[in-house]
Amino acid sequence: MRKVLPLVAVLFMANALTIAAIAQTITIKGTIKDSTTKGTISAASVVIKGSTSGTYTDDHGNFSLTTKQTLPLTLEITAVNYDLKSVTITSADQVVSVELVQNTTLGQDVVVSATRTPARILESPVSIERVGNAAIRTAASPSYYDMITNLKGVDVVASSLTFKTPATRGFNSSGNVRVNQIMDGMDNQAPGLNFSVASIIGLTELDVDNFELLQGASSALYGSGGMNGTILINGKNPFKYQGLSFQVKTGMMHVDQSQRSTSPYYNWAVRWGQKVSDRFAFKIGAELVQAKDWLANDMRNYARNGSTGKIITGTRDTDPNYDGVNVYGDETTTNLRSVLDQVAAQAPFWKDYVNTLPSKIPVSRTGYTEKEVTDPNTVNFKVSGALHYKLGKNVEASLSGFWGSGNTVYTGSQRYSLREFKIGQYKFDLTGKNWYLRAYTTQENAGASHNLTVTTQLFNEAWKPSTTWYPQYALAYMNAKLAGRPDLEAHNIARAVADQGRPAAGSDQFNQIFDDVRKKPIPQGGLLLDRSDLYQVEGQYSFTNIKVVDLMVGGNYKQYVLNSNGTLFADKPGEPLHIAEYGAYAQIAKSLFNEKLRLTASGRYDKNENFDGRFTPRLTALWKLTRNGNVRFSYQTAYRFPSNQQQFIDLNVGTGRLLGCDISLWEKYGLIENAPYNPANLSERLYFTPVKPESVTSFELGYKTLIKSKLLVDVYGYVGSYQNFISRRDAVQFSSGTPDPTATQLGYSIVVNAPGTVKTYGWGASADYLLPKNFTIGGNISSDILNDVPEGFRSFFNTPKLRTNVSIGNTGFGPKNLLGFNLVWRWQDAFFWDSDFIAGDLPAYHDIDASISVKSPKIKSIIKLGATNLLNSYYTTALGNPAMGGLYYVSFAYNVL
Amino acid sequence: MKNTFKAWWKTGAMAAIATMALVGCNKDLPKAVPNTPPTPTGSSIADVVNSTATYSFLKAAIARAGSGLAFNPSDRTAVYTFFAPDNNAFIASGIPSETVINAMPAAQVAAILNYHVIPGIVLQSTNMSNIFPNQYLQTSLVLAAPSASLPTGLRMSLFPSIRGGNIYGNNIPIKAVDNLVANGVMHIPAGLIMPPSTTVKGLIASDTSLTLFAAAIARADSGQTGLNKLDSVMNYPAANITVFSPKNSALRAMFPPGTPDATIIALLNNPAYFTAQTVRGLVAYHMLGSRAFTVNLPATASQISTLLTLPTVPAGLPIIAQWNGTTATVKGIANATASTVVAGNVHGINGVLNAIDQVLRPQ
Repeated sequence: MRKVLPLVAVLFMANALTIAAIAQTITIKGTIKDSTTKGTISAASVVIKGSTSGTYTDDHGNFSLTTKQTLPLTLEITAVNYDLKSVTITSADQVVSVELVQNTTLGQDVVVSATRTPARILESPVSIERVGNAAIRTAASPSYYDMITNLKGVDVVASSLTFKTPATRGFNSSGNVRVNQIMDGMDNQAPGLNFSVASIIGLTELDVDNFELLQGASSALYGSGGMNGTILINGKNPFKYQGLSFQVKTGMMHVDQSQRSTSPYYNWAVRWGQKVSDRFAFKIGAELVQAKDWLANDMRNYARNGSTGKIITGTRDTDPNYDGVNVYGDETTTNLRSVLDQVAAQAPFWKDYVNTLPSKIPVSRTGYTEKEVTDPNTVNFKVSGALHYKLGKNVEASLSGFWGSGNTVYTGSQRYSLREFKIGQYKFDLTGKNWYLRAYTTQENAGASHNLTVTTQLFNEAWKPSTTWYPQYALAYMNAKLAGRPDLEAHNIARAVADQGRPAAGSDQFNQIFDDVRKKPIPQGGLLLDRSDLYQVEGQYSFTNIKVVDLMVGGNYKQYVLNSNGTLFADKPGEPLHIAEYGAYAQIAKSLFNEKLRLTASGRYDKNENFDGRFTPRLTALWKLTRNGNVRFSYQTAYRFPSNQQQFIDLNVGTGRLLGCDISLWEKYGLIENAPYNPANLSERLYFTPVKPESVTSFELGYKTLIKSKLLVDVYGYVGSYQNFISRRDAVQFSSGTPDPTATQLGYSIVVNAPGTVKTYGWGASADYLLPKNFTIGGNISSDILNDVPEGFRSFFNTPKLRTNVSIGNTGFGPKNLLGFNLVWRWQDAFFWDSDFIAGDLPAYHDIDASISVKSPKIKSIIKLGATNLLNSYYTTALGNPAMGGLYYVSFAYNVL
Repeated sequence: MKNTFKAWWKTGAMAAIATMALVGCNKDLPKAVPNTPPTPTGSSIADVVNSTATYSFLKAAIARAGSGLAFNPSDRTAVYTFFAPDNNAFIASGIPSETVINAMPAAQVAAILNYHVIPGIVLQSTNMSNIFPNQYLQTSLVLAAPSASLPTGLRMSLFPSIRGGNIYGNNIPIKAVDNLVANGVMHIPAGLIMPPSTTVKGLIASDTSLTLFAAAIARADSGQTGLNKLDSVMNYPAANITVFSPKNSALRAMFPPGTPDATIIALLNNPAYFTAQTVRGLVAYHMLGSRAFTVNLPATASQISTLLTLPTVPAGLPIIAQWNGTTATVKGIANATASTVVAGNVHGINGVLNAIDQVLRPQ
């Protein structure tokens, strides 16, 4: 930060010096209002026709435009959801007062991400969805990020109230690494923990201008990752969005008290944007979310076998080896028979009896539920700010910072409590008319985040080591059996004996021991000491002087610094791991047949220092059948290098060791000279094989049309083919070098490329219909199917065959069109959920979100009454994640119209 | 037209909302399903005993034992293997009537019955051991005083076995087997299987025909301490041994005829004739580290390791043993002829005592 300050000073000085230079010009002032409500319109664009000079109205609807142009001139005034209006200015003294007429249009949004150049959404050559801030204002969802859920073809996994992970076209998970999320031009994946953090840290809701979602493969423009979509979230420019705005949202959750008592939900946000001069503007913002989170309380029994397993019957009282899905500490299991054999060696008169018992009597330690071991309060605090300075007519420099901290719960290979988790993103950006240059860094600090499974297992060891607990259990079990008690009762008697002294959840003793364990770094405790960072520079240039084709080039360089003090990665204190990656891309576009056909070809080359370089091409064709009807075809490729964790993780998770694919880790554990075996088939030895980047190739055909400006229809179909799918598998290493039950066995979860090719295909269709009086009705349906899955292949496809959304809404009805409402019904089919944490059938579910709103144009405010999961009908988006019920809220947002 | 549209719109909207509300309810999320242990079916031990005329003595015994019973025959969820003596078994063991049972001390009746129960297992005949050594299982009988000196968890042991199609509880033949009941299995012994009350040391000490062997044990133990003393082993409740104890007559036969017992004892203690180690070896050669009732010995003469180990024979120097259906014999490897078990199956807490008519010679 210290280095940045002189630069800011230079910008201020430049600002002061240039004011004098523009003094000999005319200034046009005016006000823009809504023709129906008579309220002023802020952020309306006022541009002198035929030039690039323009400005935006401030938060009072006023504008002031200084120009050297001679009179008369024409101003073109536009604002989102209003018809364009032109006004002729003949005198410099003329006070301009313009009223814009509201409109509701379909298909007129402008999207950028599809080709990295602005284009009407109707003319996007690949499937894309966009949500603008007008929709965010009236949405039923409690946060803008939740709106992604209702987009076509999207699956969202909710790890907690604030931790949502979207994906398209399959392969979703909690903390997906196959979807790129780019917030204000920055990749917001946490460098160490590898999940995208937009839902917890990033732009505040009041500062989001829009977001776009590219479905499917999109590496050709955005680099490694993006196998299953790219989300781009764009903030509000302080030159355009000015003034103080704030939003107070208060709600309630847990109304039926099935998980916990009814609790409040708070979301407060504030933003202040100020255009200080024509050259300098700044913004600051903050947001606080506080709630009692949904609780993951799946008490079903899980038969775990390394990273695989299945849901089985049984409860703590009816299965001595019970391992509850959301119960932790009970992953520790031992074959009681071996303990009994040791007891029998001491008491030979028991030996023959012990010999009549089964050779395997698995017994797990008594666990604690998630509710008992996590901080159930979700707190999420974000603060951000930016300085924008126009260096010339078309060059804008900006320096921005985003910082957030929060408590939430996340699902990886196990459940993690993210506590005091902090991420900062800091960016310097220079944007010209046809180019940009950007440098940014992501600074991650896992805070007091800890692995719930490992922490609770070690907590159990802390209050009574298993070396004491199991012998006590064994003795009590024998005594109960020899008192004629039936087996299960004997187990329960033995558990009660061994559990004597077990701290009650929430007791002082519990808290003291638990805190002690969770604050100790792995492997002594459960704490992740992650302080990993990312540094990236990137740039892009569009050649405007080439007439024949449109050519654009760009490139980036990034450096990851993985720093976990050995608690997560194979780094050492003071010796972080460095991973460098660079890439370059070019896109060429050509319109043919009188602009009827537009072709683009793009290609991107990326190189990660630990892997061979990858080239990913993309070809698109857009055929304009009519002005508002287009057929699109694309051939896209995407790939991803193994994530940082998949490369360098070195984490004992209690049930085994998660190991990255880098050879240094294999060497560290002697897995090269003593290769592990497949635990399911001990005749198969798993030798080191370098892991290759995963890739997908897809073809898509789509059609989008706007019929009579009233009906917008979009349909698409695609096929995708995945190769070198990066997956994990279990491995067991024997100290003896060969499978030997008496040898010491060490379990690993290793990263491998799955053999063979996996194919997916799918389709989607949406229709939005504009009814009279601003009513809109819309619906979409989409399907993704996995095909040709090789035998024994774990795909983690995690996607329903069918999902659908239906919505009805109105952006303005009633007196002066001040009322609005929105109702969305969503449904998705059941499917088999597979993850390293848990696998099993995920039931189908419905969800209804609804909101009604009233606008107050005078104070540019909106009051909204909203509900997600209106019927409070609980569902879960992934096994092991919380079941979510209704959230009902009322919000007041000031200066947002 | 406008009104018509309004009406249509309202109806449509209401219908859409109603439909959403109807379909918007999710099924309850799956809950944990308890495992249900198999429900015991059929009659309990108590049911069988109470409803069977030939168990009337047993019924009376159970009533007489009262709270001294360490098992609950009417607990349908419990797991027992019960050697349930019928009336004839009582009679065969010298208890001719319920009156006699009712006259016995309740604690004694309870101890006898407790010894007939192996808890925690449903041991059917198919799972009984048919090879030597046989299964060493714990009954419900916990000896009272001096239980303080007994290891924790030690209950009196019972040794079910199957030999040549015959089934035994210790040395008592079982005449009917495998009556499966809700709380286990019932077998009917031909007589009461009497619980032990003293150690092998105590058994030897109380038998006047074994005094010379007792003297040999004392000689063998000279200079030894703790559990290195064979005498201590024979007195250690958790030990599991068989002692083939030569009768006094057998020991006398090793000396010139007419040698007084006092002289024999003196000679045994005279290093010029017998070192302590020699006697120790000799005694150990008469001991097995497992429990062998005569019926458990092999049907064809076979070697069984004794506690006498040599550096070259760490498993123990063998004797050759046989049970031919009526008589048990054992032969030392240096003996010309086999010894006969003349008084066998005297059961102690920690072993069984079989008196034999020759000294076994290892060399």
